[in-house]
Amino acid sequence: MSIILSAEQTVYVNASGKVILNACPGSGKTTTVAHKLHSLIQGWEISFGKHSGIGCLSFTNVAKNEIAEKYKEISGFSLPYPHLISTIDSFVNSFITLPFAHKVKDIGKRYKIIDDMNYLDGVFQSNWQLMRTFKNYLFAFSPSKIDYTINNSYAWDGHDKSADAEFVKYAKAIKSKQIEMGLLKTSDSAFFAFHILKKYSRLAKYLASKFPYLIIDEAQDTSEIQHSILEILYNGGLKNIDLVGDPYQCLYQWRDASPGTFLKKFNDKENWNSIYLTENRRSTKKIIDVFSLLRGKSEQPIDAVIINDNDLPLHAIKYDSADYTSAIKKYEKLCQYENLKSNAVLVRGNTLKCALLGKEKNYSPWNNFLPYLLIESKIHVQSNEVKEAVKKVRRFVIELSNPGIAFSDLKEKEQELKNDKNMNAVIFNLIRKLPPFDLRIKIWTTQAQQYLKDTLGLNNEPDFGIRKKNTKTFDKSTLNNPVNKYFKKATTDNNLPVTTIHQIKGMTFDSVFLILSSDSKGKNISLNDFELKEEMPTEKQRLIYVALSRPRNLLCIGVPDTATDEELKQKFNGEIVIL
Amino acid sequence: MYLSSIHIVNYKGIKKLDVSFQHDINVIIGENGSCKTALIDAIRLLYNLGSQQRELYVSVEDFYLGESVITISYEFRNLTADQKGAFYEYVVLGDKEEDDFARITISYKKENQKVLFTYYTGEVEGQRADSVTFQFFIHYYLGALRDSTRDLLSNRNNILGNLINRQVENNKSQANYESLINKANAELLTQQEVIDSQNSINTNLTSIYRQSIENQIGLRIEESRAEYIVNIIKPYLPHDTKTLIGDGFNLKQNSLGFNNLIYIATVLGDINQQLKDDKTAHYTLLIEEPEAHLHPQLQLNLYDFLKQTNNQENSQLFITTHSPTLTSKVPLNNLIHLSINNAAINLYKCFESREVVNVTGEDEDTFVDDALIRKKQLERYIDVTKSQLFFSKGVLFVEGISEELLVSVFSQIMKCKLEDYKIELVNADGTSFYPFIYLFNSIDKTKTLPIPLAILTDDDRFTESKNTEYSFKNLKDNLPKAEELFQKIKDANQSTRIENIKEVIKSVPDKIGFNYSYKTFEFTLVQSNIPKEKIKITENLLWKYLSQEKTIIKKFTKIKGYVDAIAAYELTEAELNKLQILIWKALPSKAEFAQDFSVYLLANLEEGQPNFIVPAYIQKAITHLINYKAK
Repeated sequence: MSIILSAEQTVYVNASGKVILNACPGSGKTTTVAHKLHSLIQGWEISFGKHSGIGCLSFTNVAKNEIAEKYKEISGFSLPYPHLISTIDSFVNSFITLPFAHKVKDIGKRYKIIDDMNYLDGVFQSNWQLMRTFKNYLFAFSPSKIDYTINNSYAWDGHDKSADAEFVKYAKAIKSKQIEMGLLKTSDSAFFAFHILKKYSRLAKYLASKFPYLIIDEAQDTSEIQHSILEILYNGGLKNIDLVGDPYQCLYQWRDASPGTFLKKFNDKENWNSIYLTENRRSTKKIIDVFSLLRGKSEQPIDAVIINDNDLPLHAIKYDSADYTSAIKKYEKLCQYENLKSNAVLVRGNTLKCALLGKEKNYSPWNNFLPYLLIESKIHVQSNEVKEAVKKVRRFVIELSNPGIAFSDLKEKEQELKNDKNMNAVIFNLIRKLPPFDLRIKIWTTQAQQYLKDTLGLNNEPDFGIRKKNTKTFDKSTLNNPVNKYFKKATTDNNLPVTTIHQIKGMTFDSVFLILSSDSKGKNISLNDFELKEEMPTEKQRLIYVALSRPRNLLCIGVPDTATDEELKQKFNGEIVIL
Repeated sequence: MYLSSIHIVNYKGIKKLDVSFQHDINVIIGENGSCKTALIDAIRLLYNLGSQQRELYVSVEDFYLGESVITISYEFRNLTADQKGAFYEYVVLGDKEEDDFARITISYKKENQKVLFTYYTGEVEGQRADSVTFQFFIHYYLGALRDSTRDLLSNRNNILGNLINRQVENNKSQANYESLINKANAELLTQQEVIDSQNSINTNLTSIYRQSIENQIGLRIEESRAEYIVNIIKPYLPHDTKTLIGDGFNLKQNSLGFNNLIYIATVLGDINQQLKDDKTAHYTLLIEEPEAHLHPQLQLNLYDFLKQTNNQENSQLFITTHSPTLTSKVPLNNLIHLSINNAAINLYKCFESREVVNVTGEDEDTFVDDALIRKKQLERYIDVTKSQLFFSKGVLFVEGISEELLVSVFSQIMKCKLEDYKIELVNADGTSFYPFIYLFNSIDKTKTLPIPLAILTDDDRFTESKNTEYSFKNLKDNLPKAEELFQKIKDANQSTRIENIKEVIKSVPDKIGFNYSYKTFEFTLVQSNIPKEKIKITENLLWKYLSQEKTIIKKFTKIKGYVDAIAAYELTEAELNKLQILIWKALPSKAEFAQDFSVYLLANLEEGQPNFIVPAYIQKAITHLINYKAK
């Protein structure tokens, strides 16, 4: 495959040293990075030898997989060892924290990275010693959100709590218990990594020898501490590093990422080779104009590459907040009419998502968490996410036969099962033949319990702990409803995916339908957010920016039927069709 | 970088073994059953992991008796910056940068007659560097019974082919080879026999297909790639040794020993080529028992050659040997001694950071003995014969040829032949025991050979006894003078050597037996065998020997007269003293006596005890060696 790179893309591909690339939406960032990999691989051995490689690190697994696939498309083969395409979290875990964490605190075994926050909370909240001393804290401040801070204190959910002496005591107890168990969250891992590098600065040199070239994709989402880690690396010997990102698409403030950190480096022209990608090859001029409303006035304008007179203008669909069905029907019809193939309904947050899908949020008819795992994995299969599905069933099988198993043992068992061919077959069949979800919950529960006993050859039926009493939050008559009223694939009746904005970052659709709330209370987003108050948009505005910049042809927004046409026309300079 | 140490648990005959290595050459010595080959195989296991053809596997029989997990860990030091990158996941951090090293631990688990392999790199279990990194461990192995002729002549993956191909690849000269083949191809095809054969096949094909002629074949040399053609280049031995072309002998007609040398020379060529191309990988050459095919001088030539050739970074040599010839030539720094109870000793360590030993000099000043000087002395003293001690189960040191000849016979009289107990009798040619003692006297197990030592020496009191006034001639008719000599000996001081040796060995009293004669070996020998009872004197083998020894007929007649003149059944103390002095003085010269008497004893072994008494101090020494059990 040969794509001719644009002039600005070529500048980036040929740049080396400390490079920072500010890439607007649709600028072909992933493709350009893949081309850069391809170009670096040519003659790599001569410059860097055959034992060192490029580390290409993105923020999410999805994004890193996309680069890997793009690279394969261009070069015809997967990027081989010693090169690496991974996520920055996993890079920090595998090359700094896990190999050397025992140098910070030796617990006599290798640490494990824990990604299951519910599990972590559960462990602490069921520890009677902790409960005796910190009962109130344990539930008000969930343990999984406690983090170390650089000033040797603690934060909760991103907020520095070093002033709260009682909290610090609590956080200390939790963290030391967590370390004792050998469990590190990704944020803990970054913190450990930072300290390891501070103490053993020579590791930066060794790593630079293993990976003399690092490309950090989605660098706007790189957290403050990850930036510090990268700084240690390039101050300690790493000669080539690319930071690739779009500050406008920074969505992880809660993970301590801020567009400011990226921009500061971008504007530091003395130390960084700052490069722009301003050509959008994805969206029509009309769509670009809409999301450009959220760009700073002094910001580099985005150039549309696709120019077409027949471009569809922005569409607004009014909805009735008691029933979204007709609004969604309108959108589906529109897509059909315009012959658009890949479309998505986008929402902010899970509450709205559930409302759209007609399901109840947090509906929990069972006390045991096992049936949820089973159901989720079945839904994964329906959505073609086999890997996720198998992972969950594997976990299910282990938990079923080892109730209350410790996390590190769980991980080991998972590894064991992974290599057990017979077990993999059992696992796969288990999901396939699960009783169907159109059964009533009560009946499904009985059948599923019996099914598990038979299939896995258990002595007794597992007990899902179906709820028997009415409570304030639970009406037991709902048990007569079918399972799929509450648990189903996140799509509309016509199979359009309904997803949160975070999930579609980096993706491209023919059209999207972004549903706005009537106000901007809490985490809601609404029309009120379309006005830029400062040069840099807020996190909420960046979220909208990401959503608006996804479609190629058609951008739709859903607005409450209370919004007037005048208001809408005025917001979008008259360029709007209102349905 | 180099393999600095290995830790082996439960592999083959090894229960547990830790060995440190030198960066260049390691010569592994030790008796049979000391697991030299198991150690070499343990090294090979790692180097086999990344190699394309595995020569070595772990099977259920390879587990140490009754054990089900084999663990071997390898440590590498002196990594370059590039190597620290390439082996990043292997790195174990030390306190300082220079203490950092790389480590890989492999293990095999026995489960239901199956063997499961697993590994980790670095310090904490669970970390795994990519298995591609195994390819950076490259080795060449020359086993004890290897058929290097076959290796040199095989068409696939042969070592000469590799050597040439590597250079072809570097020089990108494949095309030259291919055009040569094409030329040969063209000429071959014009040969009548080839043409005829082709025609015959095509005629047949035509009659099979009848209608169509699209099924005809052409002929060619099958593989025209440089890589293939290079592999059929083979060494041979031309008759014309100047031009090295023309007819010659096939390697199969050559001696196996010479072929081994050709093989080693080719391997080293290949290693050196690779070392130039890739400064990250690590190379080892493992040679087992080179003496199997090489005569002693050639063994030494080979060693010298290997030493010169194998002096580059990232390349390490391991040799196992039973050859005292080779052992005596290798510096102590490069010798590793293995013993049957799974202890590995780097011999140089016996001389480093040693506990302080004070000795007294001739002028009675005391000073601290310098172990490093002892090490240099040992390297000078050790020769082919003395090196045999490294392959023994016990060592008996004696001062000279007399003891060497006689003690061995004495052991047979005691019915504990030294050879049967694999005890090595070492003649120190003097009294310079110290350098040898340092191999045995440390309390630190990593600095001492785990085998017992016994030292036989003389207390050398009253050295004036050699003076002419005490010659047989001057004593034979002046018996009071003989009595005087006896008393002087009795009253004299022991040589300072006795106390010094006691000082040097006092740290390990159970392991080193120190036994010394009264006056001299011969003197004590005479004392032990000339008792009071006249009848026993004449029945004694020493007396019988003297009676038939032609060189001393006159002396013996004189002594016999003296004895005959005594009427009593037993000699008095004074008479005995004088008799012992006279006999001692009448003995033939040292070497002659030992030579003749040992032959005489051997011929009359069955008379042995009770008609010959092995001096008690010698009995003690031998018993010590036989009964010693390492703690």
